[in-house]
Amino acid sequence: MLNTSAVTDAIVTALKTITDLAAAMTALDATGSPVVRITAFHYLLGQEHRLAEAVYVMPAPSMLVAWEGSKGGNFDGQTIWKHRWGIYYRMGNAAGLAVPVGYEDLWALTCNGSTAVTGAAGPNIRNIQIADGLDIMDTPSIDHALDEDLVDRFKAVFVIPEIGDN
Amino acid sequence: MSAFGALSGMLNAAVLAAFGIPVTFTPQDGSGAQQITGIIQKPAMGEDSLPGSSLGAAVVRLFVQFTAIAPAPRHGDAITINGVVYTVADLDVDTQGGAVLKLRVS
Repeated sequence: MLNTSAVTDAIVTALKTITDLAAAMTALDATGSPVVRITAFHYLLGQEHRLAEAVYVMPAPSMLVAWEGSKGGNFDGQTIWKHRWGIYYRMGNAAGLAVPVGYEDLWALTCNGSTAVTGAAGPNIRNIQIADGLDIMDTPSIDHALDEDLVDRFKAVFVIPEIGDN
Repeated sequence: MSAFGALSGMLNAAVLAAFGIPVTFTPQDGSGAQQITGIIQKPAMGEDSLPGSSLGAAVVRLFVQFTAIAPAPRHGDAITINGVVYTVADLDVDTQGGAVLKLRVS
């Protein structure tokens, strides 16, 4: 079975290659430099918040990628693992923007935006091999959610089958 | 205004005078930053570190006398607390002129 930690980072890398999505998630850091706020969460207690708090304190805009479990079973002749990741979205402040980027836009960019993981513009994230040993993902999903302050946010789910048993 | 409304306004003014802190309100209409007074309320979730600055939390609920602020705060306005800039992500206005602004670090 693959170590999903590396795959979490690979998903972040792939998402960052979607140009318009990365632009929508770009903000200035404390030094005034632009930074793409698409980050991985690895459950490193002591180095990171607990997941619930990490989602709660997500700045706007930002995305957070976290592995949330693996399902074992005999899915077909070559698949015995399906790994699942949660993709948490927090859209940016749309006040005063002529062309705001809302959750619908972010999801469309995620599903349809061209990735460039091989260096040139490529197929969308649904149709690439995100990491060695993985098949292309199952059709992804997204659902509305409310945070602890009842503010809208969205969470997508990527389920990615593993090829064989690595 | 009803007697209850007037009393509520007096109560809000009294608690803001006693427990309020100065914050900088920057409306998005370009009318300029102004100082207002608010009370930081118990958060929905405690944070185990203070991102943004040594004094800032990422998410803040701020009670204000909504009807005393012009222009009225709305989604997307900026509020600066202890040097940390927050965006008004949501606001819950009560019937007596007060409001809780839900602020998220931007």
